[in-house]
Amino acid sequence: MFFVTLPMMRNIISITVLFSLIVTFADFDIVRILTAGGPQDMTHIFATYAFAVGLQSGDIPLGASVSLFMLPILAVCAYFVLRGVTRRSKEIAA
Amino acid sequence: MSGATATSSTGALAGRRRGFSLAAQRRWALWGSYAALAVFVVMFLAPPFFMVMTSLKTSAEISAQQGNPWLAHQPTLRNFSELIADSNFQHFFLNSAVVTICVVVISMVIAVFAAFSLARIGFWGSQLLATGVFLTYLIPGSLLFIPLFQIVGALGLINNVWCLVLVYPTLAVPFCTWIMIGYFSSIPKELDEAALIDGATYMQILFRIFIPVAMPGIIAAMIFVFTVSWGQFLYPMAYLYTSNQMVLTVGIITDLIRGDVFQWGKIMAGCVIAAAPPVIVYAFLMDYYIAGLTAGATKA
Repeated sequence: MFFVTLPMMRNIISITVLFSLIVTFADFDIVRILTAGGPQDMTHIFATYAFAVGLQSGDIPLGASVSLFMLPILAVCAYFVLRGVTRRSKEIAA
Repeated sequence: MSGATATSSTGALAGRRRGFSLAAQRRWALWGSYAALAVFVVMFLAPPFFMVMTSLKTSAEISAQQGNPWLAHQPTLRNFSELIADSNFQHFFLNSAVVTICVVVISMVIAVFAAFSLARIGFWGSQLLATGVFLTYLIPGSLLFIPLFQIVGALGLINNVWCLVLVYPTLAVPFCTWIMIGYFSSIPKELDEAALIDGATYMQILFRIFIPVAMPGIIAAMIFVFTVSWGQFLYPMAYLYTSNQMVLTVGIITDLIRGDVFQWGKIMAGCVIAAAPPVIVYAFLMDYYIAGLTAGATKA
């Protein structure tokens, strides 16, 4: 398992990790239903804060910039994961 | 199964060194996986079980302090019957169903055509475009909803259930196209070469060969679109605000929670009704789903 199966699955595993990372990072539903930003904005994450600022307070530009803060973080993660994936698939092909 | 054979082949050496027999090691691995899976099953089934149980209780029983909260002592269907008779709830369900069906049809048509052209008609830049389609899927919906809010507003579709039909494909199409590209490129090239020699056009190749052969993949993608558009929460939350336009997910939240008053019995009954269609669809099409996902995912 540790020497054969897992190394062969590395590409799939890393793509799955990337997806769940993004979905968790940008999650909205659970935070919104459980606490909705919670006592005095203590439990906001980017998505819910963008919703609260942008649509509920009506300040659309500020809300958009809040949610845009997610982009660089996710883009860096995606860049490294995808670079690893393409490099490994080239190794397999070669 | 491949996991088991891999452990036994590499475990043979280690097992002899430490004095374990291969059979004993295999037995331990089996017990370990059963234990781990049992933990996961209990963990994932506990919330739905609690949901069903709570939906069967009266509100007096829900707020009661004594008694086991995991069991309904006097099960009643009153929550369900009240909810079904509620005209708001009927609106929610109907809206959800209409939106989901429209979205499934629209995004499957787009995704199948897009995937066919990207996987088979090798035009200039098709590789780049396929990568681009994959990259769009990496952008989460919570990043897009404010720009989309302005677009939807400019189209005059705010608080109109049809804006969801317009918006959901942006979530569903990239992933479906990606899965379908993988599935289509796993179909041997000899098939469409043979069809071309017989004088078929690209359209005929798509409809006569690719769609029938790739049916498991198409069904898997369809289930994905169904789940996404049935369970989507952020977009309807942002774009809809009167209860005759809402869909189920948001409707349950806004209609059954008034300030600090939670009608738990009805909320849970609504959740059970809302969770039923995906469960039914999955139960019937599970085999297709797994086959389609694995075949598509490896060809990224």
